[in-house]
Amino acid sequence: MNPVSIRDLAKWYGEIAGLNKVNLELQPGIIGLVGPNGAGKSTLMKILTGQLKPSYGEALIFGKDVWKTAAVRRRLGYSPEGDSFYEDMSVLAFVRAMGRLCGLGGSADAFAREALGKTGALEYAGKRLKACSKGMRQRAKLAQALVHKPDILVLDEPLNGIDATGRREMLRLFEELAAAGATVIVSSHILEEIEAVTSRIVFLAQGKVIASGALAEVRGLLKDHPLKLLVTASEPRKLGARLLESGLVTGIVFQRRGGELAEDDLVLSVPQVESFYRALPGLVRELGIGIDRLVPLDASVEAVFGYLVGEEMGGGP
Amino acid sequence: MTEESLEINEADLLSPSPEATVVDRWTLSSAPEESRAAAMAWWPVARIGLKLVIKRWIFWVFIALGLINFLFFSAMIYFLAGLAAQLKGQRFGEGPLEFARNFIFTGTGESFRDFITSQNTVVMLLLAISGAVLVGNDFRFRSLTFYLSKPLERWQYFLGKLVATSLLVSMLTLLPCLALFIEYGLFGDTFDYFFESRRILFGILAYGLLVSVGMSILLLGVAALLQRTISIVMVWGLIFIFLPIVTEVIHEAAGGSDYWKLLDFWSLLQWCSNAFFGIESGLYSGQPWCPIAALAAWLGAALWAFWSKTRAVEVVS
Repeated sequence: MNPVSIRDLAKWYGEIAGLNKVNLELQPGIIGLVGPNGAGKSTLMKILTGQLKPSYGEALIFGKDVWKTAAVRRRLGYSPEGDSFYEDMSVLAFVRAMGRLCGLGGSADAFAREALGKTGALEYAGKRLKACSKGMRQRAKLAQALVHKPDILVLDEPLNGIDATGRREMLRLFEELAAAGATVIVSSHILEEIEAVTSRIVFLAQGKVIASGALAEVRGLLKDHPLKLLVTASEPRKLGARLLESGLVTGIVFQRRGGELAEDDLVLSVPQVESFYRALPGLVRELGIGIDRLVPLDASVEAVFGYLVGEEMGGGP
Repeated sequence: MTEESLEINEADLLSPSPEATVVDRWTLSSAPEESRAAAMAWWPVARIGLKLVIKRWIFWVFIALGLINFLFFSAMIYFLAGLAAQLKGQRFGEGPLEFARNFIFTGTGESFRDFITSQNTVVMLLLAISGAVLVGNDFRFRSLTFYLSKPLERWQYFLGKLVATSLLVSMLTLLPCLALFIEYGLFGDTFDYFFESRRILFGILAYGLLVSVGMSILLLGVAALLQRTISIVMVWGLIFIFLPIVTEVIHEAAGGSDYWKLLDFWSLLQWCSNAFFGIESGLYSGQPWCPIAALAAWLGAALWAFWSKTRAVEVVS
């Protein structure tokens, strides 16, 4: 049984569709939710955590409808985007109180301290929330989501306000949790960071899932948008000619650097990525040239999302 | 595309670390013994609410105000008991004692009713000030999201808030009134007072509970709708100060029609208190179901307001 199953989910706000017939099966690992403002990310997260009633369809947590069965939310942890705390509480008291809401009794204090330790917030556990910085508050929010050790974590913009070092720690924590069997659903506008840790990305636009899967898989499905690869080779013209002749690339652009033509940089348009990567070592050996660098230019989450939205709108990016 | 944009790749900096494979089993789903019984899930909500209120100095001011009245009544019972003992058997002794009893505290249903009614003013002020802290802020700052994403039914959230508010009110009404009842009984020559005054005890319990629960339900509805302290205070003033004046004026203008009194929440509470204590009063001369229906309408409207706000968690604007 998958931890999260979403079936024909729709949510309407009057005449506005927040979500439109969304179907997803999510397995343990880190799942990134990507989409512009108004795409339906927050609505999906709120339905997934039992805060909103779907207009149609159902969101199942371990096979149970999360809206109808409150008890199943014990297996969920949610960190909302907003900063809405009880400001007079200390960080520890807040996390402990949230633990009690999840059913922890006398052990809530120990669990709260453990969660604060995991998120690196234990050192300021006694500090009042109103005196905490944005980063500290973010960690406290994460700790309250973790306090009862849930199977599924739903994190809305969990990296906001955290510095670069802190973000690395948080991402490492997500990886640890995923490795321990948790399903971590992360929404973030910091796409590069999501990309670095997610095993699967769900692209949302206008309330619909426009693509879902590993980033490389989704990128590979975009046949109308050949992958752009930057290649720095010792003899670029020779390589370019051979690649065109073999049909592995559909176009070559010489990369300008600093306003001058630099012949050692090529931007290739590659329609069949796997065939290209299989054939390239043989070609390089055959030509007796060296390759210093091979970088995909439009395989990032942002680029893929741009293509997807373009296709969804009925045109190119 | 510039060279700089290619060489600085933040995703590389944030790539998964090799040591991020850790760990112990994190999820708790296999440890139900750590969980509190679901039926008691409302208690942590009440506990959080109580903690939030008792941390504020203004709460203790109102408790002190309520205590002054209680101490006055308590001292008078003590004084009368002492006076009765001193004057026992003396010539003209019973005369002054009866005179004092008529004015101060006689241990009758009327006296206990009047004590609770006199406390209602302090209760009204306390609730007006505490409404935002107890309930309003959950909606205003969206802290509600922390509750609704937890394994709590909405009615459990409501019950938790209701218990917290009712406990605060009963600290000023029901509990001190019970203490006065016990004190009065203990100062008698025998314990017959307790056996002879079962109707009074019923009246104290029923009226105390009605005030505690009824005013709490009203507050939950008003605070959920208005959220800010200033708005709550204004509407509270409208209900408890302005409305009694208006209904009285209309009552007079309408040639003494009692139906107008049914609009006044205070009058309804007073009518109920008389019914509970078995006291004849000229508050309302119509059918007894009319005040009950009017009270039910007030409380029903408050419940509806609260319910509708918890059902609709706003995520889009």
